Amino acid sequence: MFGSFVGAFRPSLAVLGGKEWRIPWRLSKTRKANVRKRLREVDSVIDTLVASGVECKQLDLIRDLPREHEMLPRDKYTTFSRTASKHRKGVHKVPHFTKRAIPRTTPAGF
Amino acid sequence: MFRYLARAAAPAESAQRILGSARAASGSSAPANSDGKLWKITLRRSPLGLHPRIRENARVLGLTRCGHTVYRPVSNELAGMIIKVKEIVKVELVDRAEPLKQQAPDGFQIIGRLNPQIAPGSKAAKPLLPLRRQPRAGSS
Repeated sequence: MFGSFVGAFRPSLAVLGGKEWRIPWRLSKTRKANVRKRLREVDSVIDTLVASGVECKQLDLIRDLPREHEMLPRDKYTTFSRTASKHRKGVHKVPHFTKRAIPRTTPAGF
Repeated sequence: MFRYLARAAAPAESAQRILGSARAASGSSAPANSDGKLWKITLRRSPLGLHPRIRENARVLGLTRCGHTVYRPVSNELAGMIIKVKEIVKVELVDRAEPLKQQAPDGFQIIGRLNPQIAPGSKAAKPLLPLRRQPRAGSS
């Protein structure tokens, strides 16, 4: 009746005038390409630090992480979630996911 | 899972010491094969919205605004700070810092001031306007 089933907004019951942005459950091809690009940029930062020859405990922890082309797609575009069903959710649902460190591996058993 | 989001880097006071003396600090930290190389660090994304520790690391590295580029000596302490901000930063290994852009010289030169009470560097010290047309030779 009120509230349409098309468009950017999903109708919410609040006064029947409430609108919520639709958030797709998965990333589009463009967003996935940008996720891969950002992962490669982080890889190049780590490569530069390794090439500098510094000794750093944090560097030792991250230098053995999988690179972008070694990661599983589900690790690139989704992330572990304690609360979501199947303990998995799209990485775009993490606030500031474009400039935050997202784990490159899934916890054991999930 | 978040094992590389470890505890904070050096506080601000010792960071000044690290940034100030490239090789003289005792116990730190220039690796053997670095030979005075520098990191050219550019802040690609704003640290707004990130954890305060990450923002502090960006500030201590000298990155104050988006697009800001700084040159820092290669050292172990700074490596840890860069790792904290690695998602928002671009790093290159260079031999020397590029000089800052020099301001183009003005098309005029200030040769004197009519009002001697204006201090040279003050706000009132505006550039001299061109002199009025000189009186013709022969007229008083």
